[in-house]
Amino acid sequence: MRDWLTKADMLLLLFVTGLVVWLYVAIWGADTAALEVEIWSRRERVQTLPLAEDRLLSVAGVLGDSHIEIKHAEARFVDSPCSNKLCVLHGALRHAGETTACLPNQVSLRILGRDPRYDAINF
Amino acid sequence: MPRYLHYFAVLVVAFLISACSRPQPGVQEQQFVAFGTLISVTLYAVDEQQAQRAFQELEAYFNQLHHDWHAWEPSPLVELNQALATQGAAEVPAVILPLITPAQRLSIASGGLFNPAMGGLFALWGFQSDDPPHTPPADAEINSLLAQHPSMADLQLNGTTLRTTNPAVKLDFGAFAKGYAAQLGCKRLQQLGIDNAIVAVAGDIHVIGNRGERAWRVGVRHPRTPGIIASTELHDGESISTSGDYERYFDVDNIRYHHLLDPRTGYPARGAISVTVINNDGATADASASALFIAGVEHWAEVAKAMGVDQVMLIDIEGEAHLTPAMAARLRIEGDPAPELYIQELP
Repeated sequence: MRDWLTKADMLLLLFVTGLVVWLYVAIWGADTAALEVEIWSRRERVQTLPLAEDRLLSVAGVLGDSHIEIKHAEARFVDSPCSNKLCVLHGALRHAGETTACLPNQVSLRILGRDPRYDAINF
Repeated sequence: MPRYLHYFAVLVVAFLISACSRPQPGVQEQQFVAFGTLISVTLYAVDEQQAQRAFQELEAYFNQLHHDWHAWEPSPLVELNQALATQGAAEVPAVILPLITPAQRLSIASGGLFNPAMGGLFALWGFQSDDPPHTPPADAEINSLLAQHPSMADLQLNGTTLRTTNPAVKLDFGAFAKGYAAQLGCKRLQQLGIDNAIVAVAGDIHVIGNRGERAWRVGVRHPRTPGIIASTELHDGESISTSGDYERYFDVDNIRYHHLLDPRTGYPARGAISVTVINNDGATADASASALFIAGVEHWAEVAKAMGVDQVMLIDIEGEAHLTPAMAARLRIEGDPAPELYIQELP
């Protein structure tokens, strides 16, 4: 074996193997993970935020501000100026492709993965 | 090391690097509020300008459908109902005409479990409102309405004239309008030269074409816990609809009163918590999901057969999944813990 596989060849093989592992993790590893939440208001995509960073934010809709919480890699409406609070009752989103909305305020959330696991959610 | 091995190693590295480069597939997405709900549209292989035109066109189109078919705000449908109730006959507006025959056919096939003539019952329960109701109606009111037996069989359509001898008939297409609208939305996109799209009107979904090299992927919401219970790929021209007791409901003394009303009893149907149907026709998928929910665990298979649907999943109150073989073959169960599965042939 030593006759045809030099130290440089070993290094090359090691490099190729390492490259394959690194590329797999870097390119495909996070594909099914919910990475970001898109926030829409009145047909506009107003913000795209990482789910990994906890925060509370206010988004202006047609009736007033919707309050959205990002915590533990989930996003939810915590309050909104609607009468029925269906958006708050809907609870947290965590899977790529999931959506929820405060219809009266025209504010909606959608979870994005790098390659969305689902293109839409049926309910 | 032989020379060819060097070449081979270089080729492998080149291939891996090229294979890992991320494609730019031209996916365009938009969400907007129309049709009284959240609409999500994803287009594939279109440029941004074309997509923006299509989104604007679709939003206007869905808002028009919402107005035309609205069951309780001033609309052509409300005027039609008023004319039927007072005169027993009316000219059907062109925007409503295409709904009548499929609604009648599906209702009769379902044995009346899908009953869009029972708008009066939805109104009585307070489900014809943007705000959820808080209390069930009085038994006497429900019984009085049921005694009049409003049904789609009470309607006769001759040309564009609709007649009925039953003044209790009050049309409400809510149980199949979203599924039908999702398909119409895709049709409109095709007229705009778009061949690859997924349109979700609330949870009712229709697809055309595919998402590049793969089919469109859809997750089915778990009826009780946040997340997904199952997923599938949808192919060109397919629709998926789910009816669940979690969509519109109110609780009184720990009893859930949901919007899937059994026209035989006048009360929310018990036994199922969600039904999912895949079909090539959006209206059929939507209407049959409602009808099979009402049919419940005992009778869903025979109603599915009668309505011509063979891809069904029913989740019962124990959380167990009942599937047709055709649905079981394509659905990937993802719930954690996974539900018990029962495969049931249609009769």
